[in-house]
Amino acid sequence: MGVYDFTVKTNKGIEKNLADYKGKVLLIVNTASKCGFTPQFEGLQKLYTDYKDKGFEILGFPCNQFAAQDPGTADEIQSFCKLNYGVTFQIFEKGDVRGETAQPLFKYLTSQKKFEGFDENHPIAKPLMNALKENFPEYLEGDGIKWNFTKFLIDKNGEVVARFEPTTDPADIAPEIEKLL
Amino acid sequence: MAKEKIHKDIVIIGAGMAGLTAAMYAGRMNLDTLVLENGLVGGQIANATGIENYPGFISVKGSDLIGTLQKQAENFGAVIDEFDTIQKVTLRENPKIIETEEKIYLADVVIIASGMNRRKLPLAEEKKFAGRGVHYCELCDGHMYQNKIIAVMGGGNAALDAANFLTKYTDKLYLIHRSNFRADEVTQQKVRQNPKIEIMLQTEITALHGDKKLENIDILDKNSGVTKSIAVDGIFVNIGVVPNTDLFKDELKLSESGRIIAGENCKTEIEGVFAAGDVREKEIRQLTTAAADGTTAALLAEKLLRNFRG
Amino acid sequence: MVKVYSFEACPWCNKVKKYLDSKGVEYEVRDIELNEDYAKECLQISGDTMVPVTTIDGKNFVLGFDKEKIDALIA
Repeated sequence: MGVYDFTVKTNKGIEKNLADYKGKVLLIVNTASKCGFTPQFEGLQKLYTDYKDKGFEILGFPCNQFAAQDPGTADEIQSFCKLNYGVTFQIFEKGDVRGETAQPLFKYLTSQKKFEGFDENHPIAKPLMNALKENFPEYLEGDGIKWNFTKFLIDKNGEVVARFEPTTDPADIAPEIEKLL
Repeated sequence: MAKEKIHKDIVIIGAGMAGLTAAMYAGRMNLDTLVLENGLVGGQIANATGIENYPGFISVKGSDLIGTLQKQAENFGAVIDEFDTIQKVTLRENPKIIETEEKIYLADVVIIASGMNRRKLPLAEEKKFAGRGVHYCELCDGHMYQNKIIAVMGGGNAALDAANFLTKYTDKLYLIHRSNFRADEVTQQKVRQNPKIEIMLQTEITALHGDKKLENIDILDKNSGVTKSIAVDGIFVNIGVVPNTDLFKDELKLSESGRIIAGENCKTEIEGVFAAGDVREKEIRQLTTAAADGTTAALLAEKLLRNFRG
Repeated sequence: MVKVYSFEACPWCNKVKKYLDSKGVEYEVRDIELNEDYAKECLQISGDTMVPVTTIDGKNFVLGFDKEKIDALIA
């Protein structure tokens, strides 16, 4: 069993076999959209723009399983919201990523790479930990996905080589990607 | 065309926690109740992600809490108008007059629950550049300024923390404040030791320039009186909160911070006018105290109306 | 026909929709999160990635909840 054995559907409903990505370096991410505070989208887009010509792909899986918004202050004083839709990497169908109802791909990914804690120096680490402790203490146990923007790095042979928590900014993954390309 | 005049037992100004709670109680007591709101119903918590300090809930989304409360108030007969805007208020007459863009309301009791907002950058160009150079949430929008020139405006803890945080994205950050820092010593130390931050005290932003996005800002040095223009891609504004009391400042006594002075019973100096929630000068401003104020104001309003009508 | 470019988790988008409802104005919701083509259209109209964007002709548009401007647009 490996990453290439999974078939998923794109956001346009087209079936996609992950074997199509053989020979490429992949970053698989669970994403979420909301009013304000989705900085990781733009970071991911930048990685994609920088490395796509060298054989790098990002696969985004939207998921509404985590509280509808990330910790962070929303901007009630401006009368609009920003959606990060300037992304050009592949987005797949909305689905669950943790628990019984999780998509098989994410069950597999989390079985391959364990949760090793958050980077406590990241500004969202503290609010995120608090939010989890209060709302979903069970999420903190085990290796399931903790929150939006958990990232898995896959090498050219389909091996899951690393897992990055929401507390790792996409830009900080660049060196790891370069090593694999 | 003359505006239609409509009588109401109670007009509540503001549909945040205090206003909606007052509306629920007033509705329950069969008072003809109108709530006027011109921002988001729910006010400061309309967008809140997880509220963890409201009794009875481990965590609740602001929109859920407010949605339920709104329904509760409406089920008891209160009407909420979130589109009309108040133009003028006359409180010293009886009935009190609230003139909106579309109507004139005559109210026996007015409950002011207009809350507070974060202070916007006080320049005409604010609107033009909002979201395209002028921002209020560093956590939300800071990433847009990777390797760009950032300015932070403000001198309190929140502003200095924002400045420190934003140096994660940039090597060039101006920290602009009109007087001296109000932030605590530890936080000040952190900014002073951060080589990426250029501190500009006794300065003021006087103009914003740019075609579609912000490009330059004018900064007045208050000591020398000299204005210079510097290249800036994004400003993060953190200059505190402002109580929404502009409409009432001619008739009601305001505190130094601009809040309405009223007792724990929410009564202002004018009979039949109550102040509830964050807009009232008080020591603790929480969701629970806002709900408490809304309750107090509505119950005492009902009592007053009963006495008044015999 | 009035079109409102928006997404579900955006409270200001909902306020615009409710306002149009209150005025009895018919409109089409164009969800830019669920439909990429709408997202591209929206980007073309406003040149940015912020919503709500309310428009009739795809040229003149109102960004955010701005009652006066929306009134002028639907007048």
